[in-house]
Amino acid sequence: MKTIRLIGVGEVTLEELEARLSAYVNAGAPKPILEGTREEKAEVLQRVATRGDAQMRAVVESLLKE
Amino acid sequence: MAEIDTLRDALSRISEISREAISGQGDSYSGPEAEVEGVCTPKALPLHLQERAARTATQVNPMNAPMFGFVPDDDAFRELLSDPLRIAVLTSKYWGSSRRRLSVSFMESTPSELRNRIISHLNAWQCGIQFVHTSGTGQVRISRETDGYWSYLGTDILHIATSRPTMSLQRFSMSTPDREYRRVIRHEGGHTLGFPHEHMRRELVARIDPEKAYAYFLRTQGWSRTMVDQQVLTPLDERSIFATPADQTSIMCYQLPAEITRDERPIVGGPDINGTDRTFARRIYPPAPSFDERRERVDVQVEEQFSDEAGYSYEPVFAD
Repeated sequence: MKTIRLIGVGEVTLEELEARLSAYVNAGAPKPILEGTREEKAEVLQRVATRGDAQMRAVVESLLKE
Repeated sequence: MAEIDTLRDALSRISEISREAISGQGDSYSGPEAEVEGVCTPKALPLHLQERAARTATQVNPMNAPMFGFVPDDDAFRELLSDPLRIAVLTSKYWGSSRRRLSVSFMESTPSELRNRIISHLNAWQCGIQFVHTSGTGQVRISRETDGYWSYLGTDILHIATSRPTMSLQRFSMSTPDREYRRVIRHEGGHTLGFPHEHMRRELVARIDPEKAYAYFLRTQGWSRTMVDQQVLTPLDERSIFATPADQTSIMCYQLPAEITRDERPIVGGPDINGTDRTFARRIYPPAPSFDERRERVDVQVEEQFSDEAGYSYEPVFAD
């Protein structure tokens, strides 16, 4: 499994990325920004979407469009 | 049981309750946080039991087990699902109904007076989750040098690297007005308890005019349309929460101006924990029995077992 890295944060686990996305959407936390190529980011976000609920999938969909 | 055994059991019980009342500690506290000085669902979050997030949530509280339409076979949980209250709880982030202490540390050097003031407001929820200071690394890690006010949600804080804050209270100091302590710190404490923004619920989102919201948040926050969609216009997935109709005066509801609502009436945010907030928090996180409840429990026990002959004066040990 490839390392997940966030700009300004560094390496994070998939669970931490999920927590950060949830707090970003629900509790005013800063937006987590993935490092890597477009394809690498998409791969990570797809993993998040696969594990998440409808809200998380909506967030991922929005991020994939950016 | 011989009368003397009954007497011993009753005395033992009185002693136990007294010790809990005096020390503020009890056997019902669980988990490693109980060792800290002075002082942790059915949402379709992680679906894979083998993944760490799901394991953590489930370890903290079995009701957090990942699900697809999961409904725990638990009377208390069913009661919660049908309870006509309204703070939404992201069910996969629920700490569980057992009383619990969350240790709190500060990322920067913080005077004890300020630490105590902040923690006292976190504890204003007066529920079964108690925030307690630790000089080590807390489960809740507060920074006053980060941007903005925010917190991770519920059990998610356990997934944040210990070198990072879980809560941001930008520039809070002893000179910050008390109303801001009530509005902000209690609100952020609610997030740590697992409560998301109330205004994200479908009923309130439906009142917002998207085009007005895009213009307003671009002007005031510099947010893109996508950001507004995510932060303001995306309602919580109804399947991921339990609770009921939205409450516009909840501490978890941010103020939204009349200029962005379809009915041109503001969505009024809560300046403090209101009665319904507290009732709900205490319902899902039951606090320790009150003084009166404890006294009543002991009264019954003593009167039935000892009548007036025991002659014990137990009341003072329950003083707050």
